[in-house]
Amino acid sequence: MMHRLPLPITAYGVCNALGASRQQVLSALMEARSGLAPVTQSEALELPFTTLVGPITESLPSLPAELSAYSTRAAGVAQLLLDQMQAELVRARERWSPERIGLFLGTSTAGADVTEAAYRHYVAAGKLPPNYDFERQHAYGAILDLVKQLAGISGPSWMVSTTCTSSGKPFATAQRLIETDVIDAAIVGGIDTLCAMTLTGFGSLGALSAAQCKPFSSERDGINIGEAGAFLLLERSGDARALLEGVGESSDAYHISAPHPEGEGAELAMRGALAQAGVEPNQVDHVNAHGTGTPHNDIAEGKAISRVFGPHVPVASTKGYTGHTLGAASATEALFSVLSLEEGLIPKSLGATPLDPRLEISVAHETLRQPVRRVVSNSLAFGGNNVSLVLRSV
Amino acid sequence: MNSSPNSRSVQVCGVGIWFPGVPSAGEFAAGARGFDSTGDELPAGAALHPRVRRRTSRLSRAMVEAFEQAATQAKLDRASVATVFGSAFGESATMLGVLDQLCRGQELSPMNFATSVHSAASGAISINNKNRAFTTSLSADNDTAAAALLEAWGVLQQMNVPVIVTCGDERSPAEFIGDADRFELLAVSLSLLPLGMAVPSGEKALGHLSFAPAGSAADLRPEEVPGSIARNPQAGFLDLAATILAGRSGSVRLDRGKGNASCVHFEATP
Repeated sequence: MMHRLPLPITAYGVCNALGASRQQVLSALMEARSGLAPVTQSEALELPFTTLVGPITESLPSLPAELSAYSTRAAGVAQLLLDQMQAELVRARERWSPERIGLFLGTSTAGADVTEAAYRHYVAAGKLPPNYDFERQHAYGAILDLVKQLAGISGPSWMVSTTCTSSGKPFATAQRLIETDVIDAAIVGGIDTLCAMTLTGFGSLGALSAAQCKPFSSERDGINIGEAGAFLLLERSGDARALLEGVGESSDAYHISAPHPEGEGAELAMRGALAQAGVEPNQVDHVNAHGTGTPHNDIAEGKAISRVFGPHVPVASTKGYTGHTLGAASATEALFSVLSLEEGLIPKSLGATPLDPRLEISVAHETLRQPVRRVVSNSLAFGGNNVSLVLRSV
Repeated sequence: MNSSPNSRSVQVCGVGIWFPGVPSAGEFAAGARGFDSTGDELPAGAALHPRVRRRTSRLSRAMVEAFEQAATQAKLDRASVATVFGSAFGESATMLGVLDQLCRGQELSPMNFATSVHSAASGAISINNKNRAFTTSLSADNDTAAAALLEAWGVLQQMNVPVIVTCGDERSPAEFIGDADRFELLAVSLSLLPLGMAVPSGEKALGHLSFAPAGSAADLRPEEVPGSIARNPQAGFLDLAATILAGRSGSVRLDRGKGNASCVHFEATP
């Protein structure tokens, strides 16, 4: 595989259960403070079981009046993320022109939360609520129109929906289209919001934990679901916060909802990303693992990490902070990886003690403060769809 | 526009089509335009292992049918070909089934939940063919086909491998889309190769496809198909497939007038 030129990440916006700003999120990671909490009435989720979720607790901005037809929770998250990146977006638009800036986002739920409420109304009243707009609120592409208008960009755009890798694959798309001169820059990332259908669906699969998730622990028994948004601005050149060095994409070709037990697809993705970056495994200082906290995922991913990196590289899952944010997970964790590079921080892998003795990896049991030059961030999805990113400090 | 291959050109070497009453590109090309598209016909999905087929929706099976036709015509290796799947609304029927169960207080089917995801066809085809290569599943409303072709072009450039692009949308959900806009199930697939790569079938490529510059106008009219298919978000991709099957050269608009007006130019092999 050909070695790719690193792409600067010049700006980002973040919002999840840890907060709605870089500083809030960084503080929580440094203090090993989880954002997971029991489901409350304010989340409007009626569940027939107990679990924890990672909700966005900050109030979200309203859309400008002329865009109010797009109003959803995800739209509010998008507005908040773009507000955090505003100055760099203005600069990028002036530098590259709006039609040379792409938009590639990921989601697994799209507007399912709004549709869920609308459908409940439909079941009760026989008609949809008057303010419900399927194309502007539910459709996968709805958020694209909104973000393009808010960000003032008009390049190619699409939404990737490959469940838990949805917001990782856009990094590869942007890389390809910048490299081939279709665009000069792109906003990449993803948004997913909480809804009862997703929670109940994962409940039906027996994948949810009733307590806080425990990635890599011998006591792990499932995931917690969270909601989040993360946008990153990738440019052909510019003042970088961090660099995207490589992306590996692979398939398990094994099972629609279970990972390959040996993590073969995950290994392919990691090796592909390293090859694209042109680096050896021993040049990686930290792995931000997918680490969901399910019995199957963590052992499979642990085996793959062990085969690629050996037993010493510090591994952490950040699912214990935010929950599994599904379509937003990949971008959220890429952004955590950027924070690791900027701050010399390896977050404590919450819930990992007691460690599963079968794992031959070095899970970070405490927050580590040390120089971090390069991070690999993994995302592994339903259907055996895998993405690994290699990110490097400036 | 310039009709010779350029840096944004790809070879087209296979076509697949499935919609109710028209089970193949061959039948479409033979003139099966006057069909009844309103039936509940279930695509056979015969290429799928029974274990995979049991877990596959009507949309995914239609996409499998189109995919298989395109792969067979080009003789592409199903275990290694890269795949791009596009759908404006994804597995809307399965998702609404899950939602209906939820809202009526019924127990959710774990299988239906697992296959309600947008990437269900991508996963099923990857698993069925033991294919560990690149796959993705994307949406851009009425511009989904244009987006899928551009993503495929990027993959062709970066990885220098064949790519099969498959776009499809399930019958519109009656609860959410009004009568005037209602559409039927449609899936269309194209096999694409980088310029200069020999077609595994040993045949000549059907032609080459180029991205038209922004603002270009189409010079070919949309295919005459029943309204229920013409309103499907992938109808523009069907127009392109029809152009290729007919061996016509010209520019085709991929959004049927409802999106960002993306056009591609097809130059048929003489």
